[in-house]
Order: sequence, then structure tokens, then C-alpha cells
Amino acid sequence: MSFLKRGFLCGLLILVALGPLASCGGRGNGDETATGKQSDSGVKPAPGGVVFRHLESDCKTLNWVLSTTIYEVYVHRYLSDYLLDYDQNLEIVPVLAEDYEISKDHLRITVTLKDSIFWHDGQPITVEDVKFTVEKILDPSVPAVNKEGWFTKLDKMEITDDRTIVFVWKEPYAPSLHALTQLAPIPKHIYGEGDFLSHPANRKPVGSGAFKFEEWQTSRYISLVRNENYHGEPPYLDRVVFKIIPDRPVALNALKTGELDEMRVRQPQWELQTNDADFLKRFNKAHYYVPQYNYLAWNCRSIWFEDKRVRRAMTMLFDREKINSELYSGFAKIVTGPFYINSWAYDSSIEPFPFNPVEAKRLLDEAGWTDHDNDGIRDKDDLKFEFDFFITSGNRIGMQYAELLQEECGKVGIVVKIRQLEGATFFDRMFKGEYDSCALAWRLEYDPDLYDTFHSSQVPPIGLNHTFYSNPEVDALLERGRVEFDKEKRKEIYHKVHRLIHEDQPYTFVNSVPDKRPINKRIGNVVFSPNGPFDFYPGANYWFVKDGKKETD
Amino acid sequence: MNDRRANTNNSAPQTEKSPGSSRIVWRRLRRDRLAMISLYIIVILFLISCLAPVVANNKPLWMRWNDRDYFPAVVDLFPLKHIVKYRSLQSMDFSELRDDASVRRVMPPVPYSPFETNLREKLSHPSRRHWMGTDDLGRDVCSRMFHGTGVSLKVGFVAVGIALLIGLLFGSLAGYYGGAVDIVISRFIEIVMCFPFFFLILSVIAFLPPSIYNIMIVIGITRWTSIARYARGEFLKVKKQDYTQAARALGVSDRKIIFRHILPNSIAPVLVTATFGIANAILIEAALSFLGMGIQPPYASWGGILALAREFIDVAWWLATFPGLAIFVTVTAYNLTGEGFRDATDPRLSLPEK
Repeated sequence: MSFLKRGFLCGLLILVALGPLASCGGRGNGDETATGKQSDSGVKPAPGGVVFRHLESDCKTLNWVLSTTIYEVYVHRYLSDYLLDYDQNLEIVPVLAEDYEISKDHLRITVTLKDSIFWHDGQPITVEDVKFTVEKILDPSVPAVNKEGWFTKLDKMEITDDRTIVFVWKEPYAPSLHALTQLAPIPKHIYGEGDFLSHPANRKPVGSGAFKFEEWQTSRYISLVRNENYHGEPPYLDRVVFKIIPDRPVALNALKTGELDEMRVRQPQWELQTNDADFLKRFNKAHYYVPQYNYLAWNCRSIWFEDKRVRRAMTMLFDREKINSELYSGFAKIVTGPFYINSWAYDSSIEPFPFNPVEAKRLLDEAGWTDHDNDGIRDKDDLKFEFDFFITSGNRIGMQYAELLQEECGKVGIVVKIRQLEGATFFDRMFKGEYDSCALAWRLEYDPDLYDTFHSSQVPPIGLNHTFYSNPEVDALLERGRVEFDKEKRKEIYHKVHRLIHEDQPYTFVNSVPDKRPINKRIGNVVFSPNGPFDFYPGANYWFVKDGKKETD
Repeated sequence: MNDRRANTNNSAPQTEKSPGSSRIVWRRLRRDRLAMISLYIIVILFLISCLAPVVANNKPLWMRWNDRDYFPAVVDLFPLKHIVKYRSLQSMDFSELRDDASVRRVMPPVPYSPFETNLREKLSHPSRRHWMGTDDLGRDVCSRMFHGTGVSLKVGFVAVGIALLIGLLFGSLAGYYGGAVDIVISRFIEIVMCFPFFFLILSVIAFLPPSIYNIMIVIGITRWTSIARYARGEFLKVKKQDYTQAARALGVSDRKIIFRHILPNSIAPVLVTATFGIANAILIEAALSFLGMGIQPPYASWGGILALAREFIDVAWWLATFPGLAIFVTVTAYNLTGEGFRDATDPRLSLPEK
């Protein structure tokens, strides 16, 4: 799970998509392959053509350090290359780096840059740029909260020559190499002077990637052109144009008329509006599980949920099977623990608690919540079981979950009061711990370190353990997990963590809902990692168009 | 239309609260077909809102259970939930009874409760089972519409009632006493009118716990200004009438003059504005629910269903159509009734002989 601070925790699925998102979504490894892979048999990649991609909301900035939303990440996947990156199989590969070396004590990572790498304006990319970027991330006056977490354990950076930089860590830290996959340098000669936060280059970025920035029309489009001097293989496309269409029905229409080549669709659109023969002839429908899960959080310090039997009862009152089969047509997967379902850290042998109101009633009785005064509502010590359930306003998925929970709870004598809060207020209260329960989603990272979200020292206001979960056994395991470098041993540790958290149920882990994305068949070379067609190297850099047309936008 | 209602001195005897004048108004109103249709619509809406539990419910109107007669839906009509006889059925899950043919029972015309989810039938089209389709959790939209009717009407009446109280108070004080009192109150009215009231409502709602009564109160205390202005105008006019002057000359107390002489003679035009206010309040409630700040789940309101429609506009037209239509019809009905009353109470207006 990420180190990312506040902005990272997002209201259920929709808000994750629209709200502040991580620099890069996490990555996972696993066998899950996306459906809808294309066969490009017979069509040779040829240079030229334009691909039209969809942005649901405009970017706020194109300064990589300041980027927070998934839309900015989409653009930066073309504009900016990372020092290291994950490839299609989610193995770490060097990109701007020529090579890297980890010292025996795991404290020093030596990175050598490639020789002939250049910024889009022709200046060479040097280790000074790398150092400058990390310094900017760690600069307290720069709001890069979603990135600085990776580097808080960094002691210093040593430049040995103009191609070599050494990252020195304060202590052994298992995710340290992963941290370097989260680092895309920005040019020091541009950002070195002027106000960083309002720098003109934030809207006119100079990057290092396969495509160069061309134009940004606010709320209309962002266009990129091929970088002829790219250090890797030159890309095929002339241009990539991101069209900004916030309204999904409008975007779907644009997709059907060919104004867009891909977009992410919602479940009803996926089921009802993209299944006609013409659509299937023109589009591949891909779905893939991004590292993310929805959950209901129970505040372990509140009077209602301090007892784990009550928390388990709540899980048993929430029919995840039915939600998955009916609301998501079986597309979603039930999760039982806090790791990416396709990652090695996730223990798939753990069975989810089944929907079982009878057992839930028994657990509630056992915990002392019975209907003493016979008014139809459970109570204990003269306190009625009536709790607040928070969701962000306008979040339909959150509301669906809330209303389903409310109905089932009502049948066993528990009153759920659904409270809708505007996003900022909502997160503020979550991180102060001023709530009973809420619906949220985590976007995960490839590295399974969960210290910030489940260690008992990380409760509000310090960390992200917003349910005030505390289990000494889990604490010890989490501390061991982040200094253990042997993958098999780490796996064992995190499987134990998974089981313990499952037993305690500080969250009701709901599900992982796949991204659903039709992609026009005129595009060739669409490859998928377990986590989708974009978030790896080289991602969508080498797409090409088979029909060569579409020069206008 | 507005200048038509400008009264002249001779209006006083006719709007006076005598049986004769109200009969005249009623006869004139009856000749206004649109207004009468609107009036009927409002009456029907009231009936629906009162009878919602027996019109749309998953509980039977009557059922035979363990050799006894029960009337679970009828019990819902009255807040007498603690009647011992019905207790045993309180905890019954009626949705499981639906397909059980062995129990003899009579179901309401819409045999679904507004809260009962059925994910298997989510977003189904209007059909014989679900007259207005279902929402994304499979709840019957028709049932939710019926149960939401009461919300809209309640909000309209209570909010306007509050506005009427405040408006009449300020308006009558300003109109009757005039002078400094009038200046202060009139400026105050102007200041209140200058607030962008919807944002005011939004910000007040944000601080209060969400509840329908808070919404009514907030709408009431922000929408009284036009009523106050009308009341002030009427008071200014009626104050100059001979009978008022006479009452004053006889030494009748201010209170008595205001309540016995002026108020009954000036209330008719004020009530007409109040009718428009009701229409407005219904719209505001719908807008607030649309923004998720109105009725709290699981309770339904028209605006709430409409808000849901926004999410599924491309796959579920019925979610937008029915509540939209209901709001349109209700608001139009109130407006037409208001106009009808206005015309009927205007003595200078000769009605078309239809």
C-alpha cells in the first residue's frame, strides 16, 4: 500500500477515478491477463497517424512532481520516462538508467544514467536533474505528498560522476528499489529558477519521454507529438491527443462516432450500450484489475465497533456475493485482505466471510448488543445501536453500498444513518478519526508495505491508520516486512498479516472492480500488463494505427 | 398578468370574509377550467401522499395469518406501531411472502415498498410488474414516487407557512405603522432579498444535520420577502380605507385593527403569492435533493430520484422522466391554481364565459 498521504485515500470507486490519485497506480504481478488482447496478424506497424484518448477531467498541472490525478499520470506516461520502471511482466527494468546496483547491506543503490538521453529541448539529462527532482519532492514547500513518502527514508544522494548517482538510505528498507520506479526526473535547467508552483513550464512541460508536448487547450484537449530524438525505439504515432470530455454519455457517443479511440466505461454502459454487433466489430472490450479495492471502514475506537465480533457481524450483513453477481455481473472480485489481488502478497487461500444474517445476529447478541427494551432496535448499556455511515456526496457506488447495508442492518435491528459529506470535509473527518464508519477505496502500490495504514503507531493524526486498528502481532510483522529483502520470506510475513487483518476485520473488504475499457481495433500493438495497457514501460508508447487516417481533431 | 391584480378601493367589500364574497370567488374559480383541474390535481396529490402506505407497500392490505386477520399496510397509515395485535408482524419480512401463494391476502396496487431492494431487477424498464421501472438497486420507482409525494407537499406547505408567518408579521408592521418602522423593515427586506438565497440555503444546510424539517425551516426563513412586500402594500392601502379610519376614530386598539379589520381584507392577494411560493419550495426541495442535501436515504423524494437519474441518464430514461413529470405537473398545478385564485379575487376582471 502506498505511503501516499491524504490525497491518496479516496471515496469509493468513482472518487478514486475522479479524485486525487497517485502518481502512478500501483503495480502487481500475477497471472491475470486482460481480456480483449488484439491480434495484429498481418498488419505491419507503420509510422504516422493520431490516437485519440479520453480524459474525464482536465489536468491541473503537467509538472510531474506536482501531479496528483490519474489523468496527469496518463499524460506523463508519454511525456516523462522514469529512472526505473516495471515492464509488461512487472519486472523492474532500467529506463533512463543504464544500470543499477544494490549494495550488500541494502543501504546504497548506485544508478548509472544512459549516455545519450536528452530533454525535449535538446539539453542532456544528467544526474543533477535526478538529484534536483528528489530535492523538489522532499521540499516542504512543494505539495508532492503522494511522492515524498517514498523518499522519507532516504539519507542523501551522492553524485560520483556526471552519469552516476548513489541513493543512500538511512536504514534497510525493502521498498527502496521500488521508490526509484516512482521517480521521473524533471529538467533542472527549466525549473531551477522561478516559482516552482506557478512555473510557466507547468503548463508547457519539457519532458524526456517518447512524445513531446504540443498544445494544451484548457478543458478541450492536450496534444503530444512524436519525439524524433527518443532514446529508445522511435514511436510510430505522429500525435497523441487527449480529449477532455467529463460527461460519460457524451464520451461514449464520441467513442462510437470515432472521435475517441478508447475510454473507460461504467458497468451499465459496459453491459447495455457496448454489446451490439457493430460495436463489437469495431472495438475490443478489455477489462483488467487495477490494484485497488473498495472497503467499508469501522472505527475501532468507536463504541459500536470496538468489538471485533461486531465488525465481523457487519461483514456478514453485507452481501458481497450478491453485489458482485448482480451489480457487477460477476466482474468484480471479492477481496479478503489489504493487498492487490494479483500480487504475491495476497493470500488467495483465505475464504471471505459469507453473507449470514443468522450468524451476525448471534455475534451481536454475544457482544452484548441485544434488544433489551423491546423496541426493535438493539441496545447495550442504554445506548441504541444507531451509527453514522459516511460517504462522499454524489458518490453513487458509495450510496449503493450504504443503502444495501442499511437495509440488512435494519432487518436485524441496527439503524444506519447515512451521512453524505462533501469530499474535503469527508477526508478531513476520516483523518481525524471523527466518524463511526465509512465507505472508501484504496489504490495500492506494487510494494506490499502496509506500515502506514495498519501499524498502530500510524493512527490519526499522524498516519493513515484511520480505523485506529491495533494488533501487536500485526505491528511486529509489518515492522519485519519492510526490512526483509528476501521475497519468499516477505511473502510469508504478508500472508500472515493478511490472515490476521481478515480475522480482525477493521475493514469489510468489499471487492476489486475491474477497469473496463473498449479500445478501437484500428489501433495495433496494444499490450497489457496485469494492471492494464498503460501503467508500465513502454505502455502505450508503441501503439500504431492500422488505417493511417484521422489527421484532424 | 401582474398588473391585473392591482386592487382598487372597491375591492374591499368583495374580498371581505363574508359568505357572499367567498361564494362569488368560488363561483368565479369554478368557471376557470384550468384552475379547477389544477385544484383537483393538488387534491389527488394530497390523497396520494396521505394514502401512500396503502397504495404502495410490500405489506398486504389484509392477510390471514395463523387464523387471524391482520392489516399490516393499514397499520402503516397510522403511527400506532405499538398496537400489540400487530407486533408479531412487525418483524416479518414481507418481501419473502410475495411469492407464497398459500397465504390469503390482498396486496396494495403497487405491491412494493419504497425501501425494498432487489438487485436482480436493477434498472429494469417500466413493465406490468414495475410501472415506472426500477432504480439501480432494484427498488420500485413507482412506489418511491408515491412515497416521495408527501415530502414535496409537506415541504411546500410547511416552508410557505413559515414564510407566511414571517412575511405577514414584517409586512403588516411596516404597512400599518409606516414611518421609521416601515423604513427599517423595508430596508431589511431589501437586504434579505439581495442574498443569493440558494447559496444561503446550501450553506445553512451544510451546518445543520440533514433533515426534512431543517430544509423546510431554511426555505421558510429565506423566502418570506415577497410575501412581506405584498402584505405591506395591502396594509398601506387598507389602512386608508374608511372603515379602518372609523375603527381608529372609535379608539379600537392597534392589535384589533390589524387582526380584525385589515388582515382579513388584505390576506387574499398575499395568499396568492403564497401559492406560487409553494411551487417554488417544491422546486427548491427537488434541487436540494438533487444535490444530495435533501431527504436522507433510504427515504425517497422526487428530487432524489432525479439526482439518481443523472448517473444513469443514458441507460434508464424512466428515472428522469417520471419524477421530472411529477415535479412539472405539481408546480404547474400550484401556479395555475394561484393564478386562478388571483383572477377570481380580482373584481375588475370579467371572466371569459367558458
